[in-house]
Parts: sequence; C-alpha cells; structure tokens
Amino acid sequence: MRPLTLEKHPVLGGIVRYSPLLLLAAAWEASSRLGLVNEYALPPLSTVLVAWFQFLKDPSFYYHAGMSLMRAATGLSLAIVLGVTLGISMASFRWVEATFGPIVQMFYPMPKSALIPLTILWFGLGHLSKIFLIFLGCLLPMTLSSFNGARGTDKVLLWSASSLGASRWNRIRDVVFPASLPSIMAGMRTALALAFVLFVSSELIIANEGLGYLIRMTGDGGQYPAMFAVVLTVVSMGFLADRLLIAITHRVLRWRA
Amino acid sequence: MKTAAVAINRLSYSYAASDGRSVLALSDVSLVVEQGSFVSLLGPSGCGKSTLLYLIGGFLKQEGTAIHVDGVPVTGPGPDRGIVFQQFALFPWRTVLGNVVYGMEKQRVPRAERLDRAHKLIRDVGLAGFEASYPSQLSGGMRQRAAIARTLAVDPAILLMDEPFGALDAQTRGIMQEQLRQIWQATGKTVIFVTHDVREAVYLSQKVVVMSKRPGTIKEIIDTSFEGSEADARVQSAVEDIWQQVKLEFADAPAHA
Amino acid sequence: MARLNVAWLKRLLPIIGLLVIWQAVAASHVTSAFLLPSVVTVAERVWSDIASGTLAGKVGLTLYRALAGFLIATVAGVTVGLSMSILPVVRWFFDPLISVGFPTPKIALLPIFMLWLGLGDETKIAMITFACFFAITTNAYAGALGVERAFIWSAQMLGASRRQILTDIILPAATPQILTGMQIALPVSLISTLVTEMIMGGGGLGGGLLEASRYADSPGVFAAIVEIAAAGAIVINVMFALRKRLLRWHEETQTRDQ
Repeated sequence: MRPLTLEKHPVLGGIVRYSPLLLLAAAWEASSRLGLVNEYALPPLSTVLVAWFQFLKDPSFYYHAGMSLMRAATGLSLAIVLGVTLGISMASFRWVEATFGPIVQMFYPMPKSALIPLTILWFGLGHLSKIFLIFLGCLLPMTLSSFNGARGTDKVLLWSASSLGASRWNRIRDVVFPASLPSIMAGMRTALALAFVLFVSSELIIANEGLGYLIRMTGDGGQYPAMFAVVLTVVSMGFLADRLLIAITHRVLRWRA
Repeated sequence: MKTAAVAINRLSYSYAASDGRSVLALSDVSLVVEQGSFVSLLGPSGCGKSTLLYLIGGFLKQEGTAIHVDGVPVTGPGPDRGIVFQQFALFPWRTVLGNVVYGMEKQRVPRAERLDRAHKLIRDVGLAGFEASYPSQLSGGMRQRAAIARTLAVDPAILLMDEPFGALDAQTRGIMQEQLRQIWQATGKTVIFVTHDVREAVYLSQKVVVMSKRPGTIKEIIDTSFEGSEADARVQSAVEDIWQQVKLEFADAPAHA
Repeated sequence: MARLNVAWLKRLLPIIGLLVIWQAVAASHVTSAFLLPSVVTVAERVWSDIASGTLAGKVGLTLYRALAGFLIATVAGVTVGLSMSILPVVRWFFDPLISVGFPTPKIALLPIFMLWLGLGDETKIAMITFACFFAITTNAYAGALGVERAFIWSAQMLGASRRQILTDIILPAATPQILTGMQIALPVSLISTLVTEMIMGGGGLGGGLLEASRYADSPGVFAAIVEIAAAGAIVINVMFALRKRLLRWHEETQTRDQ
C-alpha cells in the first residue's frame, strides 16, 4: 500500500492547507474576547456567526443576496455572449477590427467604476442600472480575451480544416472558437471578479436592495456583527463562484494535457 | 502515358517580411507531378520547399495561374488535396475519432458510413483502442498516425506532406515511413513529400526534386525509382550523389538566414 | 512616415465616428440633454476644468491615493510572493489566505476599514493597498516558482548565499511576471480609488464625479468620466512603456511585433 501523506488526505489535507485561516479565526475571537481590541471595531467571530445564523432565518437576507446574484449573473452573461461574439468577429473580419478595435482599445484602460453615476443617470437606482454597469464593465475584458485567443489560432489548424472541406463559417465555429476557449475562460475569471466588485461597489454607493446595500445599512445602523456577517457572505460567495468557474474551466478544457 | 496530377509552370512567389520589404521565396519553378507518383521536395531550411507545398495546397495565395491541379488552376484549398503537417495539426479539442470524422462531416457523409470508415481507418493506422483519446494523451507517432487517418478519411487524390516525420524519434520515423509506403502502394495516391532528410527522400520517392536555397529554384530532378535485386545498392549510391549536391546548399544557408 | 500617419488616421476614424454619432443623437430629440449632453457641452466643461486648475487638483489627489496604495502593495506583494517561494512557513501561511482573498471583491471590506481607520486618506490608501496586494503577490510567487532550476543550481555552485540567490537570481528572473502582476493591479488601484472616493468623499476625481451626480449635473458627470478615462489611459500606458523599458533584456521586447 502506498503511504498516504497528510497533504494528500482528502479531509486532513484540506485542514492542514487551510489551517492558517483557522488560526486567524482563533486570533480574531481571542483578541476581541480578551479586550485587546475594541469590541465595536472587531466583534468576536462567535458573535458574527450568531448574527449570520440570524440572517439565515431571515427571508429578506435571501432577497438581498438573490438580487445581487441576479444582477451579477445577468450582466456577466450578456457581456460573455456579446464579448465573445465581438472578439471573435474582430479576429476573423478585418473591417470589424478596423471599426471596433480602436474603440475597445480606447475604453479598455478606463476604470469601470467611473460608470456607476452614468448608469444611475440613465437607468435610475434599480436593477437595470446595475445590470448595465456590470455588462459594460465585463464587456471589454471578455472582448479582448476572445480577440487575443482567436487571433492566436494556429494557422495549420485553419489550413487543415479548409483542406478537409470546412467553409469559412465552419472554420470560425469548429476551429477559431474552440482554439480561443482557454483565453476566453481566463477572461471570464477576470470578468467574474469584476462583476463582484461592480455589484458591491454600486450597491454600496447607492441602491435600495442587494448585499452591498445591506452592508451599508447595517454599518450605518451600528449593527457591526451583522455588517461583518454580510461581508463574510460576500467574501465566501466570491470564493465559491471562483472555485465553481475553475471547475467548469477544467471540464471545458479537459482536452488539454 | 500518365497524366499530370500537378503541373507548375514558371512559378515565382514573394511575400512581405515583417519590415515591409518583399522577399522572393520561389523563383521560376516548373515541375510536373504525374498521377500516382511519389515525389519528394528536398532542400535546406529556408529553400521554399514548404512554401511550394502550401501554394499547391492553395493555403498561400498567389497571382496568376502558374499551378494547375488536374488541369484546373489552384485558387484555394480543397478536399482533393489532403495535407499532413510536421506539427500534426490535430484539433486538440476533438478525440481521435472526432478528428477523423471531421472532414466527412463537412462532406455530409451519412453518420453510419462516417463512423464505419473512421473506425476502419483508425484500425488501419494502428490506433484501435484510442478512438476516445485526445491528441494530448498520445505520443508523437500516434498523433501523426491520427493525422494521416484524418487526411485519408476524405479520400484526397493528392497527399501533401510537410516534413511529416520530422518531429518523431528515429525508430518511430522508420516505422512510419514503411507504413506510408504501404498506404501509397495500396491507394495509388499522388504524394508530394517535403523533407530535408536525403535518405528518407530517396527511400520513399520515385523522384527527388532538389531545391536551392532562397530564392528557391529547382536545382535538379533525380529519378530514384529503384526496383529489383540491386535496389539497396542503388539507393545507397543515390543518397551519396544527392548528398554531395545538397551539401553545398546546406553549407551556404546560414549566410542568408 | 506618410504611411504611418495614414494608419494612425484610420485608427482614429472609428473614434471620430463615435463622437459624430454622439453629437447627432444629442442634437436630435431622441434623448434629452440631461440623459445625453452634446459633445460640445461636455468638451467645454472639460476645458473649463482644465483652465480653472480644478482638474489638476482632482487628478493629483486621486493619483496620489491610487499610486500610494499601489506602491505599498507592490513592495509588500513582491516581498511576500518571493518569500513564499523560498520559505515553507510563509508559503503555508499565505497560500490559503491568497486563495480566498484573490477572488473576493475586496471593496466589500471598505466599511470595515472605515470603522477601523476613520474617514481620512489612511483608510483609502489601506483599502487600495489591500485590493492590489493579491494580484501582485500571486504573480511574484508564480514568477519565482518559474525560475529555471539550472540558474539557481549554477548560482549555488558558484557559492551564492540564499539571500544573494533571492536578489541576484530570483528577483530579476521573476521580474516579467512581477510586472504582469503590477499591470493587473494598476487598474484595480484606480477602480478602488474611485469607489472609495465616491463612498467616502474627500475630493479627487471620484468625489467630483459623485458630487456632479448628486446635483444631477449631467454635463459634469460626462466630463468627469471623460477626464477619468483619459487619466486612466495615461497611467496605464506609462506602466506599459515602463515595462518595455525595464525588460529591454528580455526576449518579449525583441520579438514583440505589434
């Protein structure tokens, strides 16, 4: 039998790997309990967890979380569909690149959060402004990563496809698109993180629902354990969404060595 | 009398280098490849032998009608000319089976027939049992077999081979050369084979076209179709002859690289 | 030379086209001047911001905050990232923190930073540092791991100490990847600065933008966005030029053909 090292054990390995987090959690609890820090500034972890369990029983918490997720998912999905289409078209058709390339290049470095007031101006305080903001913010990273991926398509693959009888449209669908997938998935990871940043930021700045709004409301009301609990929720949602995307990426790119 | 599968009449070709200057790659090349024959293009790297192959394949565009395939001027790639590349050029996101059926999908071969033919070809090249493997899971020799099966699947009249065994180890190369010879004899296809390996060229082909360094011109066409008892000895002497010719070209090549 | 100018003009054409469409839509009655002020109105506003000197002040304040956070994060991130590659304890401690911290929206912690550090610049800079830290650390770490073993072995053979190996071999070899991390972190620093300014006030480009939005001053909002986009483009292109200059020895600068 092969010796099972601690790192490789499915459960123990995870505990060893994430033990620094447990240590930090313990330090958090202790410093607050022992009065090393002000209890308002850093409520003990146990108090935060109690506040979190209160939330789990509260339907309005699910409403806020659902609103945030819906906005992020809608904006991100639209950005992925349009960005991939635009990026691959830019790489495949010279005139599309000539038309949109300079515009993408000009807006790419723009700090996306500057668009928050604009989307509010156009669409008010509700869903539409947040969805549009996340869509606009994620569109350029998706376009650029698809464009770079598509442009890097190996020429001999395209030639092989042509000599096997593939039409131009066949080549884009069967060769350029799958060849861009690694780059598209990498862009998607950036866009996912950006979608989280944008929904939290825009809801912190001005909103009537969503997790960002909840952080702000609990903070303004001095309910610090609750505020910490919502922040923890956002942090774990970001982490889980990223892990999920990594798992999807592995599945989509399983053909890679 | 045999008819010409490929007829090239006074072909010159130049391309734009990265600094914008025009580079003459081929100069005044004329060549007739008879139907069913096996012809090698031999020369040092940078002599334009691959360029010539890509022009016959229609992958590189050229003005005028200097190249005729089956009496028709070449305007682009087509399934009458199958190509096998040194880098295999398998679609990495498709399995071996998926690669082999691709061309037949584009030719709208009915599904059942498609799978039948693909399975037979995969067996013929010795890849039975690897139908569901991705290219990344195969060795170099196996990938090249899969690539050859994919090309044979659309039953092209002409096989264009661009240093197909250049990336393989010596032993695998020997086996593959033998297999290619058998395929050629069994199918009667016209083969145009690019290589810089003198022995490989003489062993496989009926005619060796020796090319000079840039700008590529045809230096000499040597008959190497040896049959009968003295074949081995004559192969040996032909290799030495051609090696003497090519040596000068190889020696001078770096000065222009 | 003339050919270069023609190429430039061609690249400029779509942007001019966009401005023309904007102006045309604004001039028509499809939208109101509130939803879409005309190009001329916005350009006038930007010009008056430049002329009165208010723009320079705002840009200065925002860049000071963004770059301060960015530079602190660079020093901290490179230190941690490179240490992770040679010290197992550091790797053990930071690896899980980074795997959780990297994907999370750091800006969600801003109210906590405000609770701890108050409403001044310290809070903003701390927030920006925190937001930039992870991208730089992960890239510095990956860069250090990617250093060819042969380099390290030959240095050891030549009698280099552990510290010398870190500063003489690993740091320069990891530089391209560290710069990649910095290029990822720089826009993050700008995004975070704007959000902190919009939430906390205290002037700067973000403060000005939110103020314009509060007073429903739509030309002001558009002008601020144009100003922010321009400032962002300049900062990011400077970083790009810096990368090229620092990596003159590296093959990517030689083979870059675009």
